[in-house]
Amino acid sequence: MSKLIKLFLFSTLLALASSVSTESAKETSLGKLTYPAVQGKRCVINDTMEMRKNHMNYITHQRAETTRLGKRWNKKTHKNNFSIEKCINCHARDEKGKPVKLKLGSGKLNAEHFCQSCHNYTAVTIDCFSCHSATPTGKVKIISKSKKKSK
Amino acid sequence: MSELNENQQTTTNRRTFLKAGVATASMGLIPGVNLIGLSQAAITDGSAASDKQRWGMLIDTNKCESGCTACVDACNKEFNIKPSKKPSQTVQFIRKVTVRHKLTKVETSLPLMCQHCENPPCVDVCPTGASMKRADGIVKVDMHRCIGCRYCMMACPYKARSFIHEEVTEQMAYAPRGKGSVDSCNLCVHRIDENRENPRNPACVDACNSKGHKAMIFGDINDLKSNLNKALKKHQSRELRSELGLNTGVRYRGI
Ligand code: HEC
Ligand code: HEC
Ligand code: HEC
Repeated sequence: MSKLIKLFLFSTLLALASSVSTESAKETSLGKLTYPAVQGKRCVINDTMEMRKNHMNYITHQRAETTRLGKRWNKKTHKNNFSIEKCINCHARDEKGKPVKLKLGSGKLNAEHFCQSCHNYTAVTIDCFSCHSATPTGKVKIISKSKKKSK
Repeated sequence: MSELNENQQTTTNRRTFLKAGVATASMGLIPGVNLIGLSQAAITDGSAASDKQRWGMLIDTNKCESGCTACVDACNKEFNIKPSKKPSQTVQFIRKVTVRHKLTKVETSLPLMCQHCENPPCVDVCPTGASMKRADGIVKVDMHRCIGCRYCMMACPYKARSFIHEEVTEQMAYAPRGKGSVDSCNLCVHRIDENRENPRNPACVDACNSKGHKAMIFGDINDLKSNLNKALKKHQSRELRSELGLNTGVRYRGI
C-alpha cells in the first residue's frame, strides 16, 4: 500500500517535473533521462512509463528465475530479457556510446549514470552494483538522439 | 504491483506456450522433421535447468602436474579474483593440493574445488536458503540471500568456499560478486547456461587442456554420449571423503 502511495507521489512529481522541464529540458536530470543514449529503438518493454514505474519488479523477478532456476539471459534468443547485464549494456552510456562509470574515484556515485541519476532524484539507494558490474561490456549500435527524433 | 506483473508474465508464457504447441502440432504433420531438434532448442534457449542433467568432472591425478597452476590462474581470470591485502583472505574457488599416502609416502598433486555433492552439507546448514543446489546438480551461492554467516564454510568437508572480505571492483558482467557474502566454484554456470546441450568447458578445464595435460574431463554425468560418462564407465574413479556419502559430482582417478 505504501508502495502505491509512493508511486503515486512519484508519478505526480514526474508529471510536474516534465511540465517544468519543457522550458529548461537540459538542466534537470529527468530531462536527460527522457532521451537516454541507448542501443535499439525501445526498452525491453516498449513502454517508457511502465519501465519507469515497474522496472524494479521486473528485474527482481528475473533475478530469482536466473539464480535459482537457471533461466539466464541468452544473447542469441533474447529470452529472460530483464537481465541487469542487459539493462547496463543499453543504458550506461553517454551520447557517443562510451561507457559511463557508476563509481567515481572518491567512492562517490556518478550522477550521470542512468540508474543513479534517477535514483538520486527519487532518493532510492540500491546495493546491486556492489556486486553487479555497472559498466557495459558489449558493443552496441547507438541510435543517436537526433536520429531517434527524426523517426 | 508485483502480483500484477507475475500474472502478466504467466499469461504471455501461456500464450507463447500455446503458440509453440500449435507450431509443434503442425510440424508433426510434415514428414522428416525430427523432434530432437525441438528439444535441443528448448535446452539452449534460456529455459530452466533440468534434473535430467547432472554436471560433473573426472580428474586424472596422474596427468596433473605438481607445480602447475594453470587451472587456478584461469579461474582467477574468469572471475577476476585478485589477491587480498591479507593473503590468507584471498578468495579461492579452486586450489592445488598435495596429498601424501601415509604408508607409501607417494605424493599426488590435484586440483580441489567445490565437489558439487548430491547431498551437500553446505545447503543443509544454510539459514537463509542462499546455499543451494540447482536442479542440474550445480551447488552454488545465491548471493541475493547470503547474509555472510559462513556456516556453509564450516560445514564443507573440502574447504571449498571462501568469504569475500574486501570490496570487489571490476567484476565480470557475467559473474557478479561482492563483499560480505560467501562465494565458490559454480562450474562456470554462466558458460553452461549459454548452451546446455553442448556447453563450453569451465575455465579450469579449458586451461588444463590447452596446457596439454588434459587431466580434467567435464560433462553431463547422465548423458550416455558425453565424454565424461564414457570415461567414468571405463575407468575406476573415487570420490574424495567417500565415507561421508555425499555422492560428489567431481571425481578423481589415480588416488
Ligand atoms: C552480494 C552480491 C549481489 C548483490 C548485492 C546483488 N546481486 Fe544480483 N547476482 C549476484 C550473483 C552472484 C548473480 C549470478 C548468479 C548466477 O550466476 O547464478 C546475480 C544475478 C542476478 C540477476 C540475473 C543475472 C543477470 O545478469 O541479470 C539479476 C537480474 C540480479 N542479480 C539482480 C539484482 C538486483 C536487482 C540487485 C539489487 C537489488 C542485485 N542483483 C544485487 C550477486 C549479487
Ligand atoms: C535495447 C536497449 C535497452 C535495454 C536492453 C533496456 N532499455 Fe530501458 N530504455 C531503452 C529505451 C530506448 C528507453 C526509452 C527512452 C525514451 O522513451 O526516451 C528506455 C527507458 C527506460 C526507463 C524509463 C526512463 C525514463 O525516461 O523514465 C527505465 C527506468 C528503463 N529503461 C530501465 C531499464 C531496465 C531496468 C532495463 C533492464 C531490464 C532496461 N531498461 C533495458 C532501451 C533499453
Ligand atoms: C525514471 C527513474 C528511474 C530510473 C531511470 C531507474 N530507476 Fe530504479 N527505481 C526508481 C524508483 C522511483 C524506485 C523506488 C520505487 C519504490 O520504492 O516503490 C526504484 C527502485 C529500484 C529498485 C528497487 C530498490 C528496492 O530497494 O526495492 C531497483 C533494484 C532499481 N530501481 C534498479 C534500477 C536499475 C538497475 C536502473 C538502471 C538500469 C534503474 N533502477 C533506473 C526510479 C528509477
